[in-house]
Amino acid sequence: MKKIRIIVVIILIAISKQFTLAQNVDLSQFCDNSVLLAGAKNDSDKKERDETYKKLLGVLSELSDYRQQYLSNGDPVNLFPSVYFQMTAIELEKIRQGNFTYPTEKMRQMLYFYDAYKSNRSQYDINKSCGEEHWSKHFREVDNFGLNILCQSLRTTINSAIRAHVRFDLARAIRYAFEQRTDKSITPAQLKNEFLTTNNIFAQAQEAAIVDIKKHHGACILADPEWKIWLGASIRIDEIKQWREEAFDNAIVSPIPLLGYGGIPLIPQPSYFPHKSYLDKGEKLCKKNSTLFLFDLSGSMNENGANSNISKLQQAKNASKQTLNGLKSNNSSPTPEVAVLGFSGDCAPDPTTMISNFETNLSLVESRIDAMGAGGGTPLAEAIAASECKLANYLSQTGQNNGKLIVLSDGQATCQPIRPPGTYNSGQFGQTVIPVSARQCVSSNYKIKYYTIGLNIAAGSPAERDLQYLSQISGGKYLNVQSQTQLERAFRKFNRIYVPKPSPYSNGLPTISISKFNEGVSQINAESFSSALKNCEEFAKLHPDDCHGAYNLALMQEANDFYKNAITNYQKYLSLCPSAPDKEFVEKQIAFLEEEFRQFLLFQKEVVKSDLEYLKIHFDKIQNGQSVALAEEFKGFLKEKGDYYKNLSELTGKNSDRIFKKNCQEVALGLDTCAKTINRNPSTWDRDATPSLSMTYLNLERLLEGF
Amino acid sequence: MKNYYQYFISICLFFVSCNFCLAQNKIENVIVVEFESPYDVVTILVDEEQYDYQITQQTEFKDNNKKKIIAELFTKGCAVDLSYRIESKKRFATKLQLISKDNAGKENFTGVFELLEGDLAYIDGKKVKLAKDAKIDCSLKSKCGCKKGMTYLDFTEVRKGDFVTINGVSDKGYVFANQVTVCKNEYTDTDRKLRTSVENSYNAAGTHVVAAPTGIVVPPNSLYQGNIKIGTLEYKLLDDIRAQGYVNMVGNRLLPDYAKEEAWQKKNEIFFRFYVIQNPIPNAFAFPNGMVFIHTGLLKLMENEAQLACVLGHEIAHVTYEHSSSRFQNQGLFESEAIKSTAGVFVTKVFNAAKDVTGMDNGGLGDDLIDGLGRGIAQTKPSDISNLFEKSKETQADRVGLLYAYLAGYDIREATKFWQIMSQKTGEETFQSKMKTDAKGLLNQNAANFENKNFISSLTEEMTSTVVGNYLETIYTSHPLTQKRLKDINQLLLTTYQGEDFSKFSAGKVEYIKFITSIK
Repeated sequence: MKKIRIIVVIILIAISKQFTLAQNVDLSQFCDNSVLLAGAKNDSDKKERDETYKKLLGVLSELSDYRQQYLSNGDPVNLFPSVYFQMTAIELEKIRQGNFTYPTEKMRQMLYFYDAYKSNRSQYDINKSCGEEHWSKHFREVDNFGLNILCQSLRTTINSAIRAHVRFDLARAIRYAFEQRTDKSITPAQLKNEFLTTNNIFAQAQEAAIVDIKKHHGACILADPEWKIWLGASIRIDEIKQWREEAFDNAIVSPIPLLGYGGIPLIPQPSYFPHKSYLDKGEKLCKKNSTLFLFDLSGSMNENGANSNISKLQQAKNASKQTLNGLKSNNSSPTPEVAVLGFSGDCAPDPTTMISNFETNLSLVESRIDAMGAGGGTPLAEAIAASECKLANYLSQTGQNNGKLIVLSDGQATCQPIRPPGTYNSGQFGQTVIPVSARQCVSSNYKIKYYTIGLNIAAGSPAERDLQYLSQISGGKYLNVQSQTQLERAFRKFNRIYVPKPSPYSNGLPTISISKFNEGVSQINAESFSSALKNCEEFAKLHPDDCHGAYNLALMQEANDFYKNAITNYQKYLSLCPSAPDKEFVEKQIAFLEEEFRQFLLFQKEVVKSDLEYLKIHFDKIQNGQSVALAEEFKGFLKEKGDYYKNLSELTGKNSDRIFKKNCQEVALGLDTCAKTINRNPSTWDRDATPSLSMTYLNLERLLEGF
Repeated sequence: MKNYYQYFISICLFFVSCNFCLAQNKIENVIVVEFESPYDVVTILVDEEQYDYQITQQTEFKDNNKKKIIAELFTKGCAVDLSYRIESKKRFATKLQLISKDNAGKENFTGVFELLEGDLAYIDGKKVKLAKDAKIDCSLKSKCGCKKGMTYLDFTEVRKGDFVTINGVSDKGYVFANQVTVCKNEYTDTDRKLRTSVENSYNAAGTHVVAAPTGIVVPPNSLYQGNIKIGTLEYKLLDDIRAQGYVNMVGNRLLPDYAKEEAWQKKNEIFFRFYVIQNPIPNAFAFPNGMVFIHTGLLKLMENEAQLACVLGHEIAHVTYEHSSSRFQNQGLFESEAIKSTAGVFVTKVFNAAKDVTGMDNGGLGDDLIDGLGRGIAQTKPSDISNLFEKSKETQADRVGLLYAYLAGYDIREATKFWQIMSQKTGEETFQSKMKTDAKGLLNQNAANFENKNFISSLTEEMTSTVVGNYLETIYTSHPLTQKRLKDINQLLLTTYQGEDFSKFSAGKVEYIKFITSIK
C-alpha cells in the first residue's frame, strides 16, 4: 500500500514538470488574422472583423491571466475561467482560420458572453458580493470551500459555474448580439448551424482542461474516474449541448422572457463594458518589440577593454548574448524580436553587414552574434543612416510603428561628421543624421529611437558627444560604459519595457484624479516619459497612499533617470501594497537601481570633471584667439549644461545636501549668465562672458569636491 | 657793556627762539581718536600712532571758520589741525581747529540708498537713521523723475539704488536725518548718451578683422589673442581661469542687492564683470558699464581677500555712484569729448614736470603733442581718469567700498593694512625704477599719437622721473594720496564702524593664498 502511494507521487511530479512549459501558451500565435480579414466583404467589414477579433484576443488574454493564476496557486475561483480559456482558444483559432461564414456575429456572441462573466467576477473581486444571483451562488461556494478544497466540493463549484454560464448568461448574450448585428438580413437559422459547431470541440477542450487541473487537483481526477468523462457526474457534455441549443432557441429562434436564478427576470445584458480595454490588450499582445543592434566592428574593437584582458568585441558579444537570454526568459508582451547589424571599413554609403535578420528565435541570433569579427574604420554616420533605413523599411513591411536602434561604438566617426558644425552635443529632437546617398527609406514618419552606448570612451569626448547627440535627436538615451558588466546593464536598461499599472489601486477616486492617472498610463505606453512623469507626479501628490500611483511614479522616475526617487517610490509601493503580486520583481528592480545609481553617480562625477576641463580648454582658446570658431558650440554647451546642473542635485539624490544644491544652482546660474551675455551682444561675448565663465569654473571645482 | 648787550641779545634770541619753538608745534589734518568727558585729554592719531595731548583752560576750540565753539563738538573721528606745546615732557594742546564743518555734528551729503536693516539705512557709506519728525520727499529736479507733492512715510518706501540727499546730525557713528530728498535713479537720455559714448570710445570693435566662420553672423571681436582691447591699447588678460574666477566671485559677493537684479542691470546697462590684467603696475579701475579691472601688480601686493574686497568695493562704488556719469552730465560733453577733456587735464598734470624743467609753457611738448597724447591716453584709461582729479569722489568711493566690504562680511580693518603696504612698497627704490620702465612703456605705446616721434628718447632722466612720479599719482600708489586715504579710513573705523566686533568678520587669507599666490 505504501509503495503504491510513493509511485503515485512520483508520477504526479513527472506530469506536472512535463506540462509546465506546454502550459505556457504563446498568445501571439493568434495575431495573424489575415485569412479572417481576407474573407471580408468590404473595408468597413474588414475593419469591424479586425477590431472584434482583437477584442476577443484581449478577452483570451484576460482568461489566460486567470488561468495562469490557477496554475500558480490552484485557487478554485480560477478553475472555471481556466476551462473557459481552453474553449475560447479553440474557437478563436477556428475563427482565425476563417471557418465561419458569419465570424463577426459569432465573435460578438462570445464577447457579450464574456462580459456577463467579467461583470460578475469584477464585483466578486472588488467586494465579494452584489453580483447576479446565479453567479453569487458560485462565488459563495468558492469562498466557503477555501483553498484546501475537497474533490467533492471542487466538483460542486465547477458545476455551479458552468450552470450559471450556460443556463443563464448564454441566452441573454446571444439575444443581445443578435440585436446588435450589423447586417439585419441575417436570420437566426443562418446563425444556428455555426453556433452548434461549437459542440464539436468539447472533447478537445476537456482534454486540455484536465491537463491544467492535474497541476493542483490531479488527485481528484485519479481518485474519481467520473472526472474523465466531464468535470463530474452531475454535468455531462450531452447535457451541456442540450442547454446550449435551448439557450439559442429561447434567445432568438422563438424568444421567451429570460429568467434568472429562482425564476426572477434576468437583468439586461451588461452592455456598458469597456470593450476598448479588451481591444488595447489584444493590440498590445500583437505588438512586437523590434530592436536592431548596431555594433561597431572597427579594428579597435579587437583591443582589450579598459582594465580587462577581454577584447571589447568579446565583451560586446558576451553582454549582448546575456541580454538576449534575459529577453527570452522574460515572457512579457510585446514579443521581442531582434536583428543585428555590424559596421566597419571605408566610407561606403552603406557600411553595414547583416549579422542576423529579424528573429523572434533569439537563440539563433545569439549564435550569429558569436560569429562576428572586427577590423577597419568607424563610418558611424553612414552606418546609422543605413540601419535606420533598414529598420524603418522592416517596420513598414510588418505594419509596426515603433522600433529601437541600439548602437554600440568605441570611437569617433571616421567618415562624415555626426554633429552639425558648432554643436556641442545637444541635438534638436527631429533632426536627422547627415543623409547618405544610398539612403532609401520609407517616407512615412517612423519613430525610431537611437539608444547609444559609448564603450571605453572618455566622458565629454567628441566621440561621446556624437553619441549623445544621436540619442537626443531621436528621443532615445545615451550611456557611457567602461566594462562588460556595465555594458550588460546598459543593454538591460535599453531593453526595459515600462509597463504601468493600468488603473489606480483605490476605488471611488474623483474623476479628475482617474483621468490624470489614465493620461499618465497612455503617455507611458506611448513612451512619452517626461510628460508621463508630470502626470504621475500630480496623481501621486493627490493620492499619496495609492500604491499603483506610487508604482507608476517610480516607473517614470526610473525612465527619466531619477534613480534615488524611483527607489524611494518602489519601496513605497511595496509598503503600501505588501502583498503585491510583482513584489519579487520590484525588489529585484530596487536592487538593480541601487547599483545603477552608484554607477550613475560615478559617471556624473566624470561628466562634471569633463565640463571643468571643457571650460578650461575654452578659456585657453579664448586666450589664444580661437574663440570665434567655438562660439556656436559653446552656446550649445551653455544651454544644455544649464538644464543639466539645474537638475543635478535631484538626479543625484542630493537635494537635501544644502551646499551641493547651492553649488549646482550657482553653476546653473553662471552658465545662464554666460548664455545671456552672449545673446546680449554677440560681438563682445568672448570678453563679456569670461567673468561668469571663470566663476562657473570655480563653482564646478567646488561641486566636484562635494561628490 | 658790550658783553651785557651781547647777553641781552642772546636772551632775546633765546626768548624769540623759545617763543618760536612753542608756536612751531602745529600738525595739520589729524584725527581725534578719543575725547570724552571731563575733556582733559584728547587722543590724536598721527601717522598711525596715537598720542595724548593735555587740555588746559587756555586750549582754544575753533570751527573751520575760526569761530570759537564748544569742546563737545570735537567727537571721535573729527579731522583737526592741532597746535601744541611741550612742557615737562608733556604735550599740551593749545588749539584744535575743525577742518570741515561736517564733523562738527552737522551732516549734508548725497549718496545711494544701498540697504535697509530694520530702521538703519546705509547711504553714502554711512549709517543713517530717521530723526523724529523727519521728512522724506522727492526732488523736483527734472532728472529725478518725481511727481510734485510726493512724500515717503519712511525708508521702506524708498527704492534701493536711488540717490538720496540727507540733512541731519551725526552722533556716535550714526547720522540722524531730519530731511531726506530722494532722486530716483532714472535711466535718462544723458545716461544713454554716455553709454553710447563709452561704447564708441572704448570698444575696439573692428580693429582686428575677424573672418566669420559659416553659421556665425557676428564674430566676437573684443578679445584678441587673450587681450581686452580698449582703444589702441590691449590689456593682457591673465591666463589663469581660477584667479579670474576668484576675483569675480569676490566682486560679485560685494555687489549691493539691487545691482544683482536683472531689471536694474538692464535698465542701467550695467553688468558687473571683473578682469585680472597681466600688468605689474599696481592699479585698478572701473568703466561705467560695470567692467572692473585689476592688475596683477596690485593683487601681488595684497595679503588677503578682505584687502581685495576693499579695492574692488571702491571700484564698484565708482560705478554704482555713476561718477563718470555725473561728471558727464555736469560738463554737458558728448561722445568722446568728455574723455578727451579729462585726458587733457591728465596730460597737463603729468607733464607739468616737463614745463618746470624746460621753462617753456607747454613743457616743450608742443600743443599738438599734448593733444595727441591726450587722445591716446583718453582711449587708454577712460573712467579712472575722469574720476581722478575729483578727490571727493575718490573719498566717497573709498567710503562706500568699505561699506560693501563690511556688508559682505569682510574685516575692513584690512583696508588700513593694505594702504600701509602700498605706502611702504611703492616707496621702495626697486619698485620706483620698475614703475619708470612701465610708465615709459605706456608712453611708447602711445608714441603713434605724438607728432614729435623723438619725444620719448629726448626726455631727460630728470624729466622722466618727474613724469613717472606724476603718473604714479594718478594710480593707486602715490604717497600723499595714500596718507590721506589712510587717514580717512581710520576716521571711518572710529566713527561709522565704532564698536564693531571685527573678530567675527573674515580676512579670507587661506582662499586668497590658494587662488592668487600662484599667479605669475
